[in-house]
This record gives sequence, C-alpha cells and structure tokens, in this order.
Amino acid sequence: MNVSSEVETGRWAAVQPWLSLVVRLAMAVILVAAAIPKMMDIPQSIIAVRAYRLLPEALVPFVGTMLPFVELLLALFLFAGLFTRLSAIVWLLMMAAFSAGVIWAWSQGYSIDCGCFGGGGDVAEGTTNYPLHMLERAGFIVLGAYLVAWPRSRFSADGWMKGD
Amino acid sequence: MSSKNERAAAARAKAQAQVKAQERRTTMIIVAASVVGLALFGALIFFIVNQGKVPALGEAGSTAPAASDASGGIPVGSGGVVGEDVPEDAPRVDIYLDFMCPICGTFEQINEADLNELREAGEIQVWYHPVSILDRFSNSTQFSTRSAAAAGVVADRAPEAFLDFMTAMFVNQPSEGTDGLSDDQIEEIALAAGVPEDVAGSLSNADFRKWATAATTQASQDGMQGTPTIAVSASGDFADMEILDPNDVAYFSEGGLKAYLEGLG
Repeated sequence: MNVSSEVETGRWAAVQPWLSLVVRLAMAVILVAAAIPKMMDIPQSIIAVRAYRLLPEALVPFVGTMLPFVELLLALFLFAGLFTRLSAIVWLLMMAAFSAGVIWAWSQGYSIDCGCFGGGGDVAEGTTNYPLHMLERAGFIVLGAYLVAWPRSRFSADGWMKGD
Repeated sequence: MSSKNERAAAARAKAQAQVKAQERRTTMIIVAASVVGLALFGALIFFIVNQGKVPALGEAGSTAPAASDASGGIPVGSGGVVGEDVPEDAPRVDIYLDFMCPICGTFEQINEADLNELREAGEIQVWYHPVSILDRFSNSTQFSTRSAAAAGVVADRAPEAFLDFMTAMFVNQPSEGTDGLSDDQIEEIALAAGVPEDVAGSLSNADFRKWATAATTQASQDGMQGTPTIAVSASGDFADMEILDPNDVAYFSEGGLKAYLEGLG
C-alpha cells in the first residue's frame, strides 16, 4: 500500500516537469496566436476593445495598441520558462479580465466577437458564440492554474537558475 | 577526521552553489526587467507615433470629401448627387459599409432599390460611410482603406458618379482573404461608372486614405461595431441617431427597411 503510493509519487515526480513543459509551451503558442493578428491590424484591435464598451474612450486606443505587445512579452517568458509561476499568475489575471469582458458583453446583449485572436468588433447577429468562448476560456484558466500549482518544468530558465 | 573534512567541503560546495544560484537569479531579474522595460517603452513609442500618424476627422492632413460632415458621412441628395438637394428635415439614414464585407454587398442588393426610391422622393436623406475595418482580410494590401478612400475621392470630385461607383464596387466585390482589387482595377471600375478620367487617376490620394482611417475611428466612436451598420435619426439630426438592431428591423429581408422608414414619416 505504502510502497505503491510511493511509486506513484515517484512517477508523478518524473512526469510533472514534462507535463508542465507542454502546458507552458502551449500557453506561449496560444499567446502568440492571439497577438500576431492584433499586431497586423492595430486599428481593428482598438475597435475590438471599444466594442466591449467597458473602458473610457481615452484609454481605448492605448489598451488596444498595448495588448498584443503584452501578450508577446508574456509568451516570451513562458517560452523561456523564466519566472514561470509569476508568468502563470499574470496569465490568470489577464484571463480573468478578458472573461469579465466577455461576460459583460454577453450580459448586455452585445453581439460582439471577443477579438481574442485578433479581429473582433461586432459580428452579424447569431454568429457570436458566447458559450463556446467561455468553454475555451475555462480551458485556458485550467492551463494557467496547473502551471501556478506546478511551475517546475523541463528545459526552463528557472531550472537553470536554481542549478539543476 | 576525514569525514569532518568531507562534511565541511560538502557544506562549502553547497554554499557556493547557493551563491551561484543567487547570482544567476539576480542576473535574470535584471535581464527580465530590461526586456520588459524596453518592450513596453518600444510599444509606447509605437503607440505615440501611431496616434500622431492619423489625424482626427476635421484636423489638417486628412482631406474630407467636401459634402461630408463631422460623422464622416457622405450625403446623397434626391437627384442622386452627393451633397445636392439633401432634404435636411427628412429622416436621416446612415449606412456604414466596408467594400470587403460580403454581407454589405447583400445589404445593398436587398435595399438599394428601396433606398433609392425613398431618397428620390425626398422622404429620407441617405448618408453613406465607406469605412475600413476589414484590412486584415486583404493580404496586407489594405483593400478596405484603399476602396473607402477611393469612394471619398469620387464623392469629392465626381459627386454625380458616387452612387454608381459604389454599386459597381459591390458588383465587383473581391472575396475575403484575397488581395482585393488593385488600384488599377478600382480605377477601371470608376471609369466604367462614369467617373471622369482625371478623377479616376487620383483615387489613391494619400490624404483621402487618412480621411478614410479617421472616418472609421469616428464611426467606431459613434457606435459602429461592424458592417453593415444602419443608423436612423427620425429628426434628421445625426445627434439623434440610433443604430438599428436587425432583430427589430429586418433589414436583411426584402422590404423590411423600407417599411420601417415609411413608418417614421
């Protein structure tokens, strides 16, 4: 009994850093996929931010422009595995903010595309898929939460810093 | 004795490793902070440059079509000419279109004849807003901006050909994800729509491209979230306009918009 659970702990200890590596890289790829289209069409990114009708107009262009840069920066940290736990916390904070935005737009009955992966703004009635977006968002939050709990991963700058 | 030495050596090695780890950590914090700082600083510069590049509607540097107003709208009067015989007290219909947007073409097909009929009878004023929100669908050729700007030039310099030009642009509408129409192709369409040769040659005017971008920002601030957006002001004053919800006014059904507009009068 005792022995078998110890074996399992040992197995988990061996698997966890690899799983964390996969999660970390997946998150980085998701961020890059989200940032590139925004970067290519900043005006549309601004319109997408404005579509939520959450932020004051004075802030809208600034947030719309900075968002892809911040996403790419976070992706860089996740790729390198540098300050992984902190990066995962930042990821979760961003997800919380975006989800709040989508829930807000949904509750107000706005017909908008989330703009998560570029584009965004208004879409034709009926093509807004809020439930699917929320499901996707829930998956992203699970990824982030996992990495906060188990930030130690293979091939990470964190590991190199500690000297293992 | 020897084991004591070994233990001391091990402790020293461990302490050294810890110092090394601490050093690496400090280095990485400095590197990370520099990267974050530089990137955010770069983004800020980029933001400021970007903001400065596109003047707001009405500011120097963006040439607006003569008849257009502060909303970026282009009025078409009862005779089908931009800026002529626009009945100021009639209900005002504002139509926001992107030449790349397929359902804008559909909207035009369904409603063009109805809108023309009401407009010719002087029962409504029609204001067109060519906007550019779909530049990302033309492989970086900025077709939305180029075409909206071209419409601006036509409205300004060939006001009698504006409606025909718009119709022709939707007839020849490119698919999303293609290069769109080239400047030469737009010029040909303009010529065929009755735009004089000298005007057709000036459709790629840079100042009008700035106007198209500025007008799009203005439209977005006025509540335009996508295309087509239809806004109606019963009083005829843009300040009173409300954006139509396609669930309330079935403007994608034949006659839906016409019935609503006739109900206003």
